[in-house]
Amino acid sequence: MIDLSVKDLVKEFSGGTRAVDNINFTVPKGSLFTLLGPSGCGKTTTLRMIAGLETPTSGQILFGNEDYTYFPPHRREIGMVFQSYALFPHMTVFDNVAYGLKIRNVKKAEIRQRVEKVLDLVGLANTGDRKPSQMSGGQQQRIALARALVYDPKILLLDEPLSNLDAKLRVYMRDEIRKIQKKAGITTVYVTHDQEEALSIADYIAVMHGGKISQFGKSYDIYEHPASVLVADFIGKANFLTGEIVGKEKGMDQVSVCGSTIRVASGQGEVGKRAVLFFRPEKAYLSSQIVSGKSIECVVSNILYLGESVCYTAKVNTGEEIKVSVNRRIENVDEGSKAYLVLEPNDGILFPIEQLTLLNRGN
Amino acid sequence: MSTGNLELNPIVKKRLTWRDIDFSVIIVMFLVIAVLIMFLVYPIGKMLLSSFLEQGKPFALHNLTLVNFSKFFTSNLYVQATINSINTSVASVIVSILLGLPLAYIMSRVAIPCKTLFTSLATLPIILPPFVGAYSWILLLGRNGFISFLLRQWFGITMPSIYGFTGITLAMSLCYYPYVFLMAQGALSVADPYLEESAMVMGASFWRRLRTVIIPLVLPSIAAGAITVFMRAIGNFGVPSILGGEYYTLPTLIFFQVAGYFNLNTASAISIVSILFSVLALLLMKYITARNAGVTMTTTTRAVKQINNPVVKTLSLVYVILLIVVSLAPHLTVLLAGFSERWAGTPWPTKLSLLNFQKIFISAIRPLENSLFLAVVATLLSIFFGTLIAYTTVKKKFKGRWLIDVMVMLPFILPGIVVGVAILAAFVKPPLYLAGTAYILIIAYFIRRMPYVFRSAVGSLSGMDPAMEQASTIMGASWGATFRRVTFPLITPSILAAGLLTFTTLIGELSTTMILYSANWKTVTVSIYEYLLEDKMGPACALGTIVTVVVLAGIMIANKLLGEKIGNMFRAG
Repeated sequence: MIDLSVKDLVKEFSGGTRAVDNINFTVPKGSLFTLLGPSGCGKTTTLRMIAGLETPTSGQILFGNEDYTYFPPHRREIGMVFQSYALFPHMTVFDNVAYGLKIRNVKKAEIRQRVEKVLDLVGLANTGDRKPSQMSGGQQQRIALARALVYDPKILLLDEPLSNLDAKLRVYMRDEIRKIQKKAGITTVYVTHDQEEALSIADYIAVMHGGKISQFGKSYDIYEHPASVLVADFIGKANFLTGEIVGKEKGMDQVSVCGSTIRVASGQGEVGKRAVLFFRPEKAYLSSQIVSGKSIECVVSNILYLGESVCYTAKVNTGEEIKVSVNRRIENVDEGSKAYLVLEPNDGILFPIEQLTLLNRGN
Repeated sequence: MSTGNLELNPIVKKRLTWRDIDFSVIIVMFLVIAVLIMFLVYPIGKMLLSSFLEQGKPFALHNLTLVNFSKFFTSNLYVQATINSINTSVASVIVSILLGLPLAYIMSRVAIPCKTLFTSLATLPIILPPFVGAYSWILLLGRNGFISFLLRQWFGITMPSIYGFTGITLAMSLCYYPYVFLMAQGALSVADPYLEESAMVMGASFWRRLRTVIIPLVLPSIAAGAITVFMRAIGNFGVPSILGGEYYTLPTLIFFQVAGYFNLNTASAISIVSILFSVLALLLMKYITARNAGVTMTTTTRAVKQINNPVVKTLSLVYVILLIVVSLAPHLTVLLAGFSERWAGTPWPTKLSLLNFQKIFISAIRPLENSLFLAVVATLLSIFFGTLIAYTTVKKKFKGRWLIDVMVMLPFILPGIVVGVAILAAFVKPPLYLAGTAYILIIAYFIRRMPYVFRSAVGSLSGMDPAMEQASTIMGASWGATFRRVTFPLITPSILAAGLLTFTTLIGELSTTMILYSANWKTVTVSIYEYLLEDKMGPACALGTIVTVVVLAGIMIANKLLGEKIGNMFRAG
């Protein structure tokens, strides 16, 4: 087991575009680290630089305390699962998995034993004689994983490994991958654009935008305490309301939003500044009664019954729309009726108003 | 943003040991460059240089002269050969279009039966060695030929001499019309049928539609086919050498300079002029295809409507069968002549037997062995280097990749006799004295046919998922191990097919061989040529039959391996 660190890493492609712009992170040994971001944010380029498939423009890649930045990829002792799996179609499952061991001149008997062990680990015992093309998508994915793990690499890299699977299998496989990774105890970098996948699988997440890391932290922190409007919007569902900080009280900010004043615990704004109030739909609720210091007046425009939850859409008097998600219907709140959005001080975050311009809503 | 405590452990640069360095990729790059320089750049450069030197003069700045080229203005022979080359080539182009275009139209628009079979048969003439067919025109249309005999007997018509312009044009057109046919058919079958129909609805007659819609639609393809025919025709040595007599063309003139005077300098100069024609034709083709790209084709998947009129169908069928029979007649004649003991001055062979084959198995066994040996070795080299060079141009991103592409493809468009001259010019003097050896033939065969493997490998390499090789690298394989275990196995089918094509076309190779062979290294084709000079039609045809059978077998296997894609292999440029 080994720590993986990236220091001041930059990748500039010909033409001057910076795919990766000065990023830093450390993945503690044995943990599963996710690089999360929209397509084109530089996450795959970062992964490929760790693998050695791309050469960094500057910066360092460290395995433990050894600098591997310009070390040839085939000697890095890395395991990698590709988005397309890249299973060799001309080899059997056994030969695919045994490939890394054959390259390392492992003895035949030992190869057999280790391949069988790893196939067993991924739940594919006794499939060695088949060709990859005879296997289902989920099985191919496991073969790719087994193939990457069999020679005990220092670091495991996974490039959007679940994107070719259907929704149900994706949920199942991400749990499997996490189980296998924990069993193997290998430091892992996992690239994905799916925030739910990232939250559920990762020990640590780095959210990337435009070649930069917007936030690094544990899943819980990223979801509960996003560092910026960008992260808040990308991870999970988000409501944003513009307002103005009108005062301070017991370490909390008093914000005037749509004519109502409410208290917000986190965020360090100056009195008199305009700000964005952020909260998650499931953190707020609607009430037919006003709750002093915690509520904002609104009109319910739509109620969506989803079974496990009910989603309310409401309009505040500035015309801004918000969503509230609760687990059962709220009495006396119907479509078209007036209601009060209630938000506890700890469930809202204030961001500087300037960050709102970075958002590209509507998608 | 960053966690961890890096400052506690000092960072050490991971030491690179010799085991970490991938030598295989360095070795391969070196090999590729060495082969390209040694066998392509150097010979062509040497030929270029030789053309500016007088025979026997060493290379020096003050020795550079245009005297070899001046013959194109002073010597009647040179002027006549140039005119003859252009005449026969242009005439072949015209006849090829006249033959190929109706065929293409019928195959794509008229509902006749057995289209697949007819298409295969109509493609055969470009695959079979043209000179093997050429001399059977003598059997058919020569002074005592079968058809001449019938015409004289029944109609009292005396045929014009088969030697010279008429014979050369006839033989070449019937060999090369498939280029026009294949390319025009390709264009016609993807052209939007709505265009033709809307013209019909607007009241255009067939001829008007042909002139205003159909021809403009397929014009770029016709042009491409026509230019391919032109390049093949102007470089063809076999046909004019057999049917030319005193009627010289540029390739036979080159041969005359080498075989008659061993004057490589004048041969080089003529070669350069001949290359100029090829290059001009190629540039014209690039210009036409670039100008018309994307204008005519649509994405309609609707099948083209077939003409079902019984009269049109019958006439079309007659045309198709007639054309195929006529274009394959020389090859069938070779077959018949091979099996006949006596066939002179009579319309039919008077006695059929295996005597010719018995004869050649006594006297021509050596050339057969030589041909096999040379073709096999050159094919293996082509496969080896063609694949590696293709790999470097596809997978290694460096500036000037296009230059390698042009260099490798150059011998593909150069006349075979010119390649022969270039190789001879390069390896005729110590320290690289290879003239008369098997090596020089192998080198020439190798660079001439490598484009087949190269092109095929480029195609399947660019279609390959790059993650395949990256996966292998990540798992610890060096470049060489990756290539051997992953890349090569994945492209094997197309390489194998291209290799077969290389092998079969080398068995029928004449023009390069004629410049480079020696008494010890005579090939089958040289033997055929010699039999013809001695007027021994029977053994020549028996050997020709063997060559044809080998070529056909090879093509059939390659076709199985490659499927539809085989047509791409014959396209120039």
